[in-house]
Amino acid sequence: MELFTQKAALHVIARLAPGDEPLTLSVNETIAFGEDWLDLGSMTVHPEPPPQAPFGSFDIAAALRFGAYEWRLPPQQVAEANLQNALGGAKKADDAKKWLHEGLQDAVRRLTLLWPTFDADSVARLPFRRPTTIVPDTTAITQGGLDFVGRFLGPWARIKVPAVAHMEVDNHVDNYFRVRRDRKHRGERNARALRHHLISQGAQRTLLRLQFDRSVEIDRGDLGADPLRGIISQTSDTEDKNLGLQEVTRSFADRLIVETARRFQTQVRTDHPLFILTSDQGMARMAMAEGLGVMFFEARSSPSVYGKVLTGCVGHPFVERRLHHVSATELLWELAVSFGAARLASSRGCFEVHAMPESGLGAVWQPMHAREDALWGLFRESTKEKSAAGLPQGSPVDVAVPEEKRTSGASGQELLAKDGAQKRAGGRDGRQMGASSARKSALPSYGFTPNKMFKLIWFICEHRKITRDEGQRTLEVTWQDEYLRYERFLSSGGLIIVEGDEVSAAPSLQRLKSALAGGDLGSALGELRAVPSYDALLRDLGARRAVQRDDPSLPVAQKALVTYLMISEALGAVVEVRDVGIVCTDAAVDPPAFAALARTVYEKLALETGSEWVLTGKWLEDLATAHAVHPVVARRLLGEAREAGHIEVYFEGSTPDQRFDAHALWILVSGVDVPQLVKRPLYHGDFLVPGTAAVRLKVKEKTDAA
Amino acid sequence: MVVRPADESTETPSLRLRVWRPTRWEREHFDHGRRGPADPADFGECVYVWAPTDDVFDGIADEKDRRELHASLGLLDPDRSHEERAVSKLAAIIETIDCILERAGSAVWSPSQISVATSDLDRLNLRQNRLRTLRHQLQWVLDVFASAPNASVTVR
Repeated sequence: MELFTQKAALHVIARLAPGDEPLTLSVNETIAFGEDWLDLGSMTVHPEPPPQAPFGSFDIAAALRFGAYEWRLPPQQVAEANLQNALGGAKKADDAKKWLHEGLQDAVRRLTLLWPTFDADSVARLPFRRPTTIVPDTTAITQGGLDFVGRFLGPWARIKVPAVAHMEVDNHVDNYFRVRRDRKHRGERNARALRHHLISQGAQRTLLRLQFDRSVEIDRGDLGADPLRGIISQTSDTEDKNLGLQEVTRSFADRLIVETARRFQTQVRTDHPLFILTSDQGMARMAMAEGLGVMFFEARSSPSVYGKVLTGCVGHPFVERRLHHVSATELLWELAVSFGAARLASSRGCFEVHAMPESGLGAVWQPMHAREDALWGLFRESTKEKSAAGLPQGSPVDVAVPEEKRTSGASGQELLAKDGAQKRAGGRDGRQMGASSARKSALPSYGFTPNKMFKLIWFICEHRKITRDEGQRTLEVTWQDEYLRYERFLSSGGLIIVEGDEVSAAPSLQRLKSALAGGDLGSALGELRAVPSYDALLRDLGARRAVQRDDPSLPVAQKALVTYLMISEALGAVVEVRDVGIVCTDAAVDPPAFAALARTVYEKLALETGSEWVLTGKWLEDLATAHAVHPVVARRLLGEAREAGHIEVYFEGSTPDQRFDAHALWILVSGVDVPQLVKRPLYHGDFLVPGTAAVRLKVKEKTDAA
Repeated sequence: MVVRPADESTETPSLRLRVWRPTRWEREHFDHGRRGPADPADFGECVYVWAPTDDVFDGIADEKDRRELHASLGLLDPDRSHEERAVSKLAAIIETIDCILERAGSAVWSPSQISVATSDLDRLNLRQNRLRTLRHQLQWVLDVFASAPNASVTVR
């Protein structure tokens, strides 16, 4: 098993869902289900359809990340039958139906795939318009009320979690571990473990999530400041004994929460709004009777989730024109934590996530894992798919997460970004499995963020020699293996010299820096072509002239392809034209020849559209597709051709047509400290003539009259 | 972690849903039109408002289904009396939506006006099933306000 962040898992899951085939979602609680899995329905992913999905589009990984999926839960009878099968005669199997129903409902609410059914008065007060304190009880933490507040009611909502709520959650956790550590009945299936698991782990995850979410404001009282806290510990005080106060009862916990709220209210302005968030009717009544505000929601009596279709992208409940999305990995993670393990599977394989693996599997827990929200995962590709991909059975799976941290082994801190990891990290989505696997592993390619790469190049050139730690700090990346991708890209092209832990600039890196700084695209491209994988891609594109981005025979991994294409487009080597693909733009044209091409393309478009004014973006795209002239080159040559009197051009300014906003290209912005790649819309007039809205143009041969 | 969309569209929403309840006045109000004390029964206060990000009807492939939903939402036209626009009427609209959603290919996934920043300095327009988003919202409004006395809802 390996440690996965959600981001890393996205690319793995994307390989399971390449087509219309739904993914099956199932969960496991080891003590209750043994090695059996409980089927919780299917998930359909909705990326942008392939013909309209060029470079940088809404692909499967984006669909998973931004909630473009539907989760179809099984009907209640089916879910209960599945549960019986998974329990396999475990004790308390009948009670388990209720526990599953409640636990699943709570998990779905914590995810905000379904929202708590608040009372009408509470919703009428929302959204808050001034700072408001929310004091949740344990039910609000466990059953999703607090997650709703954290996600939708910021920035005004200030959460104050009473210490006793933390303690109740810890008690639930302790109850679960008591079952887990029960040596006497080890090996027997026990449905009670399911209940303890469901009510403890998800609540603890909510508290951790809120703690690490910087957009959520959590108030904390002074240490030990919860009133009546002493009452729940044993005391030798005679008066306490006479009053029976050392006996902890359930209502005391509720009382402590109300007391916390009341005490807090004494510390703030009297008109400061404060609400107790709860799904417990008794607690709500007690709080109201004490004059406190209450935000009450229904949990147990709300409609069942069974048979529903939930989607990961919905509207924000209070803010117009804002969407709220829940990633598929967030869903998988929540279920894994709530039940113990969760799995997504298709005919291509399966991906399991384990929140609490058995100790024998070498998986450990560290605080770092909670902070990074990393869980242990296992990716298994189906034998059939591996054979189809030309891999020998049992060979390592090419997991598409080169840029992510992945740790393994007992320490949990060893980085896997060694050469072996690179071999495993081919970086492709499911569409790209095929004959290219062998080629990709033969020629390592590297995905990275170009702007960070420029920053690193500048840093190395300025300091001549740097350490890896300095490089990592410059990139502001948490993990060394992420930094190493940058280093390996440069070293594979001889642009840097690596000696032990130190990196120094080769002369070619200085030349590359100068070319980038001066906007000399051709020279920069020439230096970068020293990187074998980058050169291989450009050679391939040069030979084929135009390809689709998802063409499986491209010689670099998918993640690296994204990076390489960004750079190539900005340096004028290729351009991605929507509905056409990646077009090689290596034509060497002088101003007179360009003038002729410009008129030819213009006349063709004018004839097709029946208008003498043609869209500048379309004109640029056609120059690229028909004559291999890059838009940036075309922009330069247009100016030169006009100046030399080879051509006359007229522009018509208007508001850009937003339909073409997706037609954009990466360009290099030099002349600043460190150059940047930025994306510019091609159809906006200011691309061709900066500072104008020259959306349409007319190209004419230069005449004396003109 | 859930990432919130960064930008907001400025287009007028295709529909706007409002939930009303009888107004709660602590003092008497004078109605200049009636030249007498205002009758609180004539007034409702808006307690919840929501509008979809994108045109819901554009997310329905079939013209017949679009008309059906339009007619269904017309039951909540503000011209109708508030009894006719009771929150419980949302159940019928949800049923209509469910019928459309069940028909394969009728409710389509499409790009939203809302975009999010990705790590590559690029922005992507989110994709959503607009009809399912509407259904999710209506169901929540129904669940929340169904038990609120004399609450009504308008859609325009």
